[in-house]
Amino acid sequence: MISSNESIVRVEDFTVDYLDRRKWINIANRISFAIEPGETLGLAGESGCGKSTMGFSLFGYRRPGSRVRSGRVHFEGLDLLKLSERELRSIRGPKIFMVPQNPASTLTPSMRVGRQVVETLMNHKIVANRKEAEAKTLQIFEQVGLPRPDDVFRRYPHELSGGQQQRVVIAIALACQPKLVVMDEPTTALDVTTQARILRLLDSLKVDYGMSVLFITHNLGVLAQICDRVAVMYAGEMAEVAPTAELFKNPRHPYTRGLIAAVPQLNRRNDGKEKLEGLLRRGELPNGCRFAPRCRYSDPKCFSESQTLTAVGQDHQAACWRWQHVKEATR
Amino acid sequence: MANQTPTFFIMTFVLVIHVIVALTGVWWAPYDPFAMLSGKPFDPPSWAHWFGTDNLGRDVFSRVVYGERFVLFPALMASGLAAVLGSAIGIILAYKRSWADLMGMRVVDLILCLPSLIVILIVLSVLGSNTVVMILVIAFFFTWIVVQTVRSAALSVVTEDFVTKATLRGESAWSVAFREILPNVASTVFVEFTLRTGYAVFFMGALSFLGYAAKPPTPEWGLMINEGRAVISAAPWMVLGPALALASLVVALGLFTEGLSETLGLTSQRQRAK
Amino acid sequence: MAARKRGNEVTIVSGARPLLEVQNLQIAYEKKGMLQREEPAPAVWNASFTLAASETLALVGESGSGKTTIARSIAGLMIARKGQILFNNQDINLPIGRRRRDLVRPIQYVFQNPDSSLNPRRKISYSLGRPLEIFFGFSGQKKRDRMTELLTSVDLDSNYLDRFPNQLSGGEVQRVAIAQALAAEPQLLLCDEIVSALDVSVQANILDLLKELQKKHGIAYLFIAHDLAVVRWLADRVVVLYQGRIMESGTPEDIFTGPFQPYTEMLLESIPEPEPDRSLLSASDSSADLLGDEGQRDCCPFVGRCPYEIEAVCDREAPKVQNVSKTHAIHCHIPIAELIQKQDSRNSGSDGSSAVEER
Repeated sequence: MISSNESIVRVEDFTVDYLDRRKWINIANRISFAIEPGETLGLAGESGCGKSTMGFSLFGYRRPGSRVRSGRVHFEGLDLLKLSERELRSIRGPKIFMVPQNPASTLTPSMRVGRQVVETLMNHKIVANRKEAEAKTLQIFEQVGLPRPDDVFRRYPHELSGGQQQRVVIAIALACQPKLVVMDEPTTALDVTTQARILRLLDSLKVDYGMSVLFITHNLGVLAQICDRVAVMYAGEMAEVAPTAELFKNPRHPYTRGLIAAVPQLNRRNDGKEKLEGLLRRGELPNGCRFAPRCRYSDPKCFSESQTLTAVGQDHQAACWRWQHVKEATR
Repeated sequence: MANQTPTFFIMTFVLVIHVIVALTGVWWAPYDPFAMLSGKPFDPPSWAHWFGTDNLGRDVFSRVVYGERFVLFPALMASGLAAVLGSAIGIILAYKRSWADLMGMRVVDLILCLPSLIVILIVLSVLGSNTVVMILVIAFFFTWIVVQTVRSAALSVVTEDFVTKATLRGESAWSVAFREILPNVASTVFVEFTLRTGYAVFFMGALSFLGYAAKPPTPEWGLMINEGRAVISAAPWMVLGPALALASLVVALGLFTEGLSETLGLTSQRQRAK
Repeated sequence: MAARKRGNEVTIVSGARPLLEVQNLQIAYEKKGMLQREEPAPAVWNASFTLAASETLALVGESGSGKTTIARSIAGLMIARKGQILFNNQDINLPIGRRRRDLVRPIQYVFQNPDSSLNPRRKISYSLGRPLEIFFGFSGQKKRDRMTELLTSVDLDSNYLDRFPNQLSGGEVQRVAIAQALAAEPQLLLCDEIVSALDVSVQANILDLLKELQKKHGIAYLFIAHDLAVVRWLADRVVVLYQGRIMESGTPEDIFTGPFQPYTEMLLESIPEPEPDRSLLSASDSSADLLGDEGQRDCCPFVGRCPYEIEAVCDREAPKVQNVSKTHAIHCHIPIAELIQKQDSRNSGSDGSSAVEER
């Protein structure tokens, strides 16, 4: 894993379990990755892979009934996992901003949206006084593409569409000027045309503000458009990490291949060759590679030996010891 | 159940005791509750008479034990009736969601604004006070409270697709209500039932205290408390015995209901296997 | 003329007449209030289309397009204010409670959300058994055998009968829901975004299953979706809806090659393809978010967002229907030749290839 000391955040060996009806389920197993300054890293995977829960755990949102078994999350010289709740609170917001899937859960329903941004600016002492805060709010509203900023300023969240609410959340994020923004399925609940507009907005803001982003989503198409690098998770483990273009051109891990092949496309009919078979059954995971039960290239060794990320190309890693065999078989 | 507090288990235990006493008390009460002079009158609690004796020398403990069934069974009947009727009406109203529903609920709100005890007293004065009337009247008032609670719980169920599917199969409202919706509000109904029972016990105790239900020499707790009121400074145990019994029953029901609804409320039926 | 025996009914199926005909449909959500002065604006304006047996028609649109409203009308959960819905040439614009029994069974609905699709307090055997009991009077072993048969046809084994919905994955629940719909031996299946809530790897399997079942039983599908890519290879014909109006209709081929109805063009450009080519990001977008109080009525709903808008025309009248070919119709004021020209010059202006096939 190429992670220089200048990485914005570096996650090492992160393992967390969750309690589900009296049984501990492993949500993330020895996850390691880094995010570079100005980079958008995509975290991909289907339901049950642990990406969302992990995304929140990493930044201190511990659900009751969770335990972090190992790992370090390096951010600005500190290990986030070792900080107290009070210390974490000073980091969340101004330094690390979380955008959850449902914008309504970030926005206070009983407060006009303009005021919510103003309050954020004043609480984090980004401006000197209220007048400045209001001016800056209107400015940011325009930057995020909200129509009629002074009108929107006075509206309540429920008086805005889903896309507009999400823009307001992004506006609050910009107001904080955080080092890192973590987005959990930010466009999944939006119409496809609205999603496209939000993605274009995020892209332009990336250029203007140089933010680092952890973009969590199951939608590979979205990741392909907006991310610089993509990390694919399966059943709590990291399956493959690579720059976006490289990942989609040369996927090495069998799960990644199956996932990409499953995405419905307009100009290419998906043949059945790489289809993903079976289901992820969390109760029946082998000791070795967790994907083995569903893998068409597996052999007995796969079930007993757990896989770790190994280099399969420039800046490209996959957790599959048979990757060369897979490469040959699918040439 | 692992999350339950010790209080819950204690209360359940107390309730079980009450039920056993109600069912079997008549067979093992130490004295005949109607037998006067089974001991010296106004005798304080002793090994022979655990709750002492009353003004006629009757054993208070035996009277309390005997009197359990005069409180618990009618209360259960009233709340049972209210639970059944209230659920049926509540579910149908939630399912139909017609203008009748909206008008009806405003009427219910009005009914519930009335001070129920006073209205019940008035009704009983007019209709005559016997156990059957008392049960029916209390059931009537409680039905509407149950309607509100169950309807509100049912409202979140009727919008589910599986209910729409039943409608699309051409099923009648009753079929949908009973087969599809009821199983999903069952825990609410049960909690309402136990809650109403507590209130029913309290109401019936109050009614018999005021002389509207049982007549002497029935060992009904409310009545016993009233009878012992006059001599409370001389023989407080005449009041204490039935009062403790009544209070323990009401409190146990209340705390049991609380613990129960917490358990049921925490139960997640929607977690999907991944 | 072909006759098919189903249960105790003999259905005569005509080769010529379509199974489902929707004509000039206008549907509105009536407010249940006592004081109602203004009529609420329709959710669906003047929609018309047909569907033949064994055919798949996709209704595609975003939120507010009216696609679900149309399906619910066909199912009988809503009534259309104007227009006709004919099923096997019978008028079914009636609430479900007032439809004849023999018009209820052949139309079945499959819903989107696996979490509310099945009664969580009942076993799968109950949910599968209900349609069999109600429509065919099955019981006992006969019922159980038929349920096993139905599960097999959706690739599930009989062990599922004794399980509860929360023990099944999303994909498995949808399969049960499909089996439940099949139990009624329907002629028309209304599929309302049935794969939208599923993982992409599971989606493909469900879509294949649907195709298979259609071939075997000759069921017609009205397939509602918001993702054009999903219906690309499944649908025989596609209808694109926007704010309650049909914007374009044709075969998938027609829709995905030009000329495009301006809204369809925007929709296609917005689909994020798993090709790292930034095509989505570089597509020019002159439209803005509307605040929703610019309520329009009898004009093109795409006004305010259309890159080719003609002032004083598009905001005055509803768009005209233009037939590009026998199968392909576009609803737009701009004449087709002009549209093709404008779209070509716009696409040559933006950089990179778009996900849309070149003509």
